Amino acid sequence: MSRRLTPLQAGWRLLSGNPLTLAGAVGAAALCVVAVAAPWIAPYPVGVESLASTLGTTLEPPSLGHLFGTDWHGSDVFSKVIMGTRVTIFIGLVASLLSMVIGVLVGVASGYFGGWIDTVLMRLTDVVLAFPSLLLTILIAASLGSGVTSIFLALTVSGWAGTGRMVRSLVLTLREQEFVLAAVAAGAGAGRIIFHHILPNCLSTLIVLFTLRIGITILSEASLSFLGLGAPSSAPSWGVMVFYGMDHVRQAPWVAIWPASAIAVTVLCFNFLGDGLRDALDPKMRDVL
Amino acid sequence: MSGVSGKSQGNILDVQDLKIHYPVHAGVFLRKVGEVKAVDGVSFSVKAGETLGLVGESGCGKTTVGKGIMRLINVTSGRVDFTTKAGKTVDLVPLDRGGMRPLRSEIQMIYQDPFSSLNPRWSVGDIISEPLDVHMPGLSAGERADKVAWLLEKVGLRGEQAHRYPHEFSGGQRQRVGIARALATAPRLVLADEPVSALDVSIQAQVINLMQDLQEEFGLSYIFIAHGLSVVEHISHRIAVMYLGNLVEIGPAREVYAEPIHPYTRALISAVPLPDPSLKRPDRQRLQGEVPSPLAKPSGCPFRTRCPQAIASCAEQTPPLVEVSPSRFVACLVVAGAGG
Repeated sequence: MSRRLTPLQAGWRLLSGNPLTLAGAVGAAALCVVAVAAPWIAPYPVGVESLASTLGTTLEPPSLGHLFGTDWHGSDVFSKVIMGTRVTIFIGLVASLLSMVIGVLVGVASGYFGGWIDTVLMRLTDVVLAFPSLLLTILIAASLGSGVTSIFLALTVSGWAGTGRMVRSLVLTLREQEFVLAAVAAGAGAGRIIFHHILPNCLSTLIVLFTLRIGITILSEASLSFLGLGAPSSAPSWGVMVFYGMDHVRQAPWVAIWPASAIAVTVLCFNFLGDGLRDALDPKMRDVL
Repeated sequence: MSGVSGKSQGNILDVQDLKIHYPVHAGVFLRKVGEVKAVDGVSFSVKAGETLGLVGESGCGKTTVGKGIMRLINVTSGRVDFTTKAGKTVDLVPLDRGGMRPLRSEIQMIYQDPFSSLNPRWSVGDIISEPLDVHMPGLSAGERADKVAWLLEKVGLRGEQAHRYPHEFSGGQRQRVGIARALATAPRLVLADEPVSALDVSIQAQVINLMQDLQEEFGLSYIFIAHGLSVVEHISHRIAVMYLGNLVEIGPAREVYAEPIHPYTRALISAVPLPDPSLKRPDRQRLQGEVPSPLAKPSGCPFRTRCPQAIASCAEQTPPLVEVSPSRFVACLVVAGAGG
């Protein structure tokens, strides 16, 4: 009789046995460390005040002095990518989390309670989904003015609806399962059924949705930034750098390629981590791992 | 129809004229265009320590009756009088969710599908102790684990299997887990909704024997819902036969089986396969046609459109259940002369 693994032990076994998940976890952790310690890691100061010192060396190709080269201001691209980690990761994680939380609340309320609650919430979802998501994000961000708070609001408001729909349909199928019926027959209340039966069974889908959401959020933020509605240029996100770098992509591809690669690596890391987490939290997978 | 569900000592459940109708909406404004009469005036009783077999083909409303008694669905009208351990008789129909909760420890259910009835993310121990968590929140972790181990052993599993997950068990073992969950709060009445229909024949017998042993040990009453008579015959003391939302016959199992009176029961029993293929049934009956839609039930007797013995007056009058011999009730104008 083998001993059962706790989720923590299973998590460790999963990390040590699955190179992709391990890479994802290490990468995500490294990104968070970089985000926190950015000012100490970046070799050059970033911002308008640093321009004077580097004038004359614009669009310099990568070298030992400037690992990722310099942009058309003469700023060090490596330093800007490091500093951009902070704002990009922060906005990506927090805005994704906010829109997931709202989406789950709406989906569960709608799917579990039904009736007029369902009608009202789903019509509201329809309204949000009727707009192209980027257009809605721009609309909200533009009406609120630029700044980090308005980015959060814009990304959250335009992002929850898809999750809400998905969670509602999950809840609708789970609600009809006999084990939920059995919980009702045992006398369990709505809270117990939602938190003990329905949400744990939504978990694998939610994790995958969340990791996908992070990628979408980072890219939407990049689009917003490009339109001047995103993060202030004193602390440019990767998205801002990619879009401005595109102007000189023929002469100096490194200006756009490095922040673009950073976005790609970040999204990949979170996706790998998400896949591994989903397996670790599924009792059926614990024997296989 | 006195006696079918009349108040008598020793009944733990009295169902009287239970009706469960569903409105059918259609069109842009969702006007009500009709009604599905899933259960249309069903009355029966269950004595303490007795097993009542409730049989009928798919869609006849037997599961709906079970869920109505459990108040898992809304009941249109009727009474469901349940007698508690304390000897109090309560009508379950007007109760809301909160009013029903304390009574749920005394009425439990075993479900049809051993796969979807256990939460795949919970260990078997947690599944079995869910009713305990709801009804006895004061239990310590140790007492809870002891109780779970004891229950697992009662249903023929091992106590140390409590921390395993449902997917590690076979269908029959999962159904035993479902039975252990139903017994956790020491209920008086257990509704078994086709508990063996998803299992292999050899496992069916084991589970039915287990249910009989548990009935003797704990003095349980069962309502055993099934779609075939062969399963029910072995475990039931009495059999109630349903057709299209109505009871057509109810009586002691052995008598109903040996000498069915209602034409539908006769057809149902002649459809039970015999173990020896060389034996020919002299009175083999085959029913013609399909079950009518419950949306458009025939007038009068619901069975008249397929009945080999139907007469003109069957269309005019819904036959009541009539006592044709002691404790045997049949709803048929022809064979029971009801309403004459």
